[in-house]
Amino acid sequence: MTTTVLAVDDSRTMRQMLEHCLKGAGFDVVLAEDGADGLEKLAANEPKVIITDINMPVMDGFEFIEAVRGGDSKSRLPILVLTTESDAAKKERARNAGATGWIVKPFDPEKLIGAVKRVMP
Amino acid sequence: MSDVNTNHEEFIVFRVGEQEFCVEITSTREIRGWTPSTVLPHSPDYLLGVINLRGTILPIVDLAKRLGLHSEGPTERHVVIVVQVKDKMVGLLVNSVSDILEVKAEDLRDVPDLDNQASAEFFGRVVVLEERIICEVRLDRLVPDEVELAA
Amino acid sequence: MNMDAIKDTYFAECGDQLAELESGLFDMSSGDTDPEIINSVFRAVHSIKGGAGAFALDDLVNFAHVFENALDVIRSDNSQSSPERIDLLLRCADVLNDIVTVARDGGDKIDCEEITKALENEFNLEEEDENAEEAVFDAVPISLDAFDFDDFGTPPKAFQIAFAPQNELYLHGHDPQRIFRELGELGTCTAKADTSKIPALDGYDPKVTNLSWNLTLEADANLSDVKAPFEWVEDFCTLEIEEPEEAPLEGGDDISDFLGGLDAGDDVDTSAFDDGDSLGAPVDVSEESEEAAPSLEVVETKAAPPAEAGKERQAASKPIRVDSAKVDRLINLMGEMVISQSMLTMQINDAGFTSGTPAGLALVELQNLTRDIQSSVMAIRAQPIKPVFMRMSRVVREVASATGKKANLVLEGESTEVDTTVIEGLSDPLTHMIRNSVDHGIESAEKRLAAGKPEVGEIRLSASHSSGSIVIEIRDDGAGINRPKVLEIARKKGIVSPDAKLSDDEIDNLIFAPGFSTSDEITDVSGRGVGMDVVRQSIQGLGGRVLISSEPGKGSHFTLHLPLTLAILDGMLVKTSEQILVLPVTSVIETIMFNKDDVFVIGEGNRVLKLRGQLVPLIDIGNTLGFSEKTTDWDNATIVVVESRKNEMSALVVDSIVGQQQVVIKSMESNYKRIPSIAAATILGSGRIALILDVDDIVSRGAKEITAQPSPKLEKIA
Repeated sequence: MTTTVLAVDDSRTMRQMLEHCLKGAGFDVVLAEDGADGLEKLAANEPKVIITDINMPVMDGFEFIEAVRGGDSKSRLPILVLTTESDAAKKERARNAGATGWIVKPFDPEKLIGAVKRVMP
Repeated sequence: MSDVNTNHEEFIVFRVGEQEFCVEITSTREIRGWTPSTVLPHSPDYLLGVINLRGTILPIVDLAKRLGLHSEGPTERHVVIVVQVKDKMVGLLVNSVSDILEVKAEDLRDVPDLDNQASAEFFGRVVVLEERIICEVRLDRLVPDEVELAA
Repeated sequence: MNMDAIKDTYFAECGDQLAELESGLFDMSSGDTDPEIINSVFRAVHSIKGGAGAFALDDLVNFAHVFENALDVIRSDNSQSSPERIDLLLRCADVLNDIVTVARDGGDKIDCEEITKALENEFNLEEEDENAEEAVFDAVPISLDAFDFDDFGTPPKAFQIAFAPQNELYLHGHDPQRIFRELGELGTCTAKADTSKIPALDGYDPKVTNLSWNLTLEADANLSDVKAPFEWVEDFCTLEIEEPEEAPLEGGDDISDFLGGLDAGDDVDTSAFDDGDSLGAPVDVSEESEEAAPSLEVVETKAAPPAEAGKERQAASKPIRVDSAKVDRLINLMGEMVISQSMLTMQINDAGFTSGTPAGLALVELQNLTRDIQSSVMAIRAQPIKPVFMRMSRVVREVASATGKKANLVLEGESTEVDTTVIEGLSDPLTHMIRNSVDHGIESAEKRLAAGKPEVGEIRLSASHSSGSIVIEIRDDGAGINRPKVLEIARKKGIVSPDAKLSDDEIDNLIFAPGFSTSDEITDVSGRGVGMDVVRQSIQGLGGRVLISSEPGKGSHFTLHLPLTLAILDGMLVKTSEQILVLPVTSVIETIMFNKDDVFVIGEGNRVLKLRGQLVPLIDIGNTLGFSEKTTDWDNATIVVVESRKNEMSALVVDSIVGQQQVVIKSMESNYKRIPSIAAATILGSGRIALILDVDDIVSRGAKEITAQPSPKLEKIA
């Protein structure tokens, strides 16, 4: 059974990259454009891992993570934060919001897959 | 632009007057019957006008006239081959479509140096088969320059 | 999908981001302090950088990085913003744009050293070395106060780790076995579960974790390596690490590598943890990690904010990205529907159903619906003109700096919505006109001061809707058109005869004349081989018109009239020489029956119509367009008086008027080319094509023939 990953990023480029890398590694991928979209996609799919950008319009990554953690059945899914944000405060906020881990962009596809496998149930 | 997996190129062969010509099948979009065209002002004599091709304006070139051959003018029996030239489409009025040929690379030659201006201007390559020789029409030479703006 | 396709996406997205960036900075420069603006500006640069990194576009990454840092200064504290700083940021946006272009299309590497330096100085950014970014993640030593070594021994060179996860750890999607797996990659890790805190079954709450572990790690690693697997869980557990005495305390390994080598962990057998019964069984992992392990930061745990935020926002309408070809198709279909409807209307009227009958009422209903659908569909294509306007601010900056002049661009009505096609076609002519305004219009600072004007010139670019068309105006407060010079050049080039008497307005319009290129005046900036005649042609190609007015010493004023949409036109169908032609209803003044008494001949057979005392050139349209050799049967002809946008009139002679209907405009250029006197084509209900006349072109040709007559002399026609 293939594992589904939900990838949330406002950048089309990043979405394509994520899809490309993850599909190449045999994952199923569901894409979302921002946090709000991510919540909808989460409700409609059964991802095992979530990857999300932080800096997004409409609903940013922090809000998204908090919303996921505040939900019910899927509240404990591993959430990887994908961002070029380099300052520690950002990560702290992400963690406080409930992020499982983070990946620094630009990511190496192998590292991305490694990180996903790292947190995969 | 033939299929990369083969050494073949496909051509659509048609008749203009008594002669046969061909164009690459990859340039061909469709073949349709002749419908009356709307004449354009100040246009060259080989341009029969424009017709409606499912909502777009399609110019029709009388290929016989364009190649300097005797033209019978459009009749109901004539056929229009719609071809794509760069980003534009143009209809070629021909007598009939006769064949689709799969041509091996070795059967394609450069056009011989004929003492004929039209051959130099309009013909690309020549398909040489056992019993016939068919000139490929250079589509990019058929229509007047697109950038010829109103003075 | 391959990387090239992703790269295409990236560059397309860069275009959007750059527009966003420039637009945001422009708003900031106009004093807008909405934090969302700086956020979006930051996000734009940030996204460009992110993608650039993925494609190893180093120049782009490096510049975007410094740019981003500078923006972050303002983002964190808006009081750091100043007009000078925003100006610098705007120039950086230009450079970023150029670097993106080079990255996409190739070309000479953009030299951005100077502006990078300027940026670093202005924003007091530390000059960074390669590892500067990573430095942020340098390990923060954890407190070792709470260590308790009682429970286990301390073998030499072995780390002793007491790890007690809290609920939070699980709530954040973590799993201890992952951590053990990673520790195992460092060396030999032995884990022992401490089950002593697990209560008896009757008091067991499955939601509360009671399990903790004591781990021994024998590894050639430093403290930060060992902390690394705990990086993400630091706040959610009690963690005590005792390191071997000789181990160094500092770490600071490359953070970007910290996920490296994780794949290796997959080979490790962790099945022991999958089975509840075997909890606490020692894990013996001996795989060596060759990768650097991450550093660790320790931060205080804070309560997670409520999760409700942003939920309501889902309801907000969200733009969708649609292939423009789909919209074009919709518009085409809508156009066909308009045609069908007009045919239906004709049929219903012919059948004798008046507007009071049920059929007539249904038809009115249908017409209303069609109109609503039409405007809704048009609205899909409409976009604010802002992005094009924004590009002009760069043009002004560049030309001003190239010519050493000072000029400010003021935008008005940039939210005016215009059909996408019009917007796309507007960029080039507008660029040229703006360039022209700075280069030729605005005077040097000294001259301006001498003339009692403000030192900095002003160019005002505005857009507005006006009676079914878009009006774009470009005003400068420069010197105005140098009429004597323009006239002199036009005479020298034979555009006007040496003795022709021209009005000021006519002289001003000479700059649009084909071949008018004021070569001794044109500089590198405006030159570029394009004259105002090409500008006028581009505008005409969009179905628009350009007008000029100028006042010496006060400035010039260009007005562009553009159609609201390029798709539909109210047309009057006329017949001449067996051809049906379409005239835009907006240009038709009246239709009159031909009357010999009103027609005169001037000069060499040029006919004019005397209309309320005014002489209007008569044009036999079928003959002029070459549809027929012989002239129209004048006695039975109909005259359609048309007016150009420049208020010049012509009287077109046609056989008859067929009717009025909305027609869908089809470009001649898409498969052919532009034809003189023809604006476009349309498809009639019969499926035949009809040509739409370019009234302005026809009128100006007619007017030219008349004015070319040396001595107008009126004669009655025979």
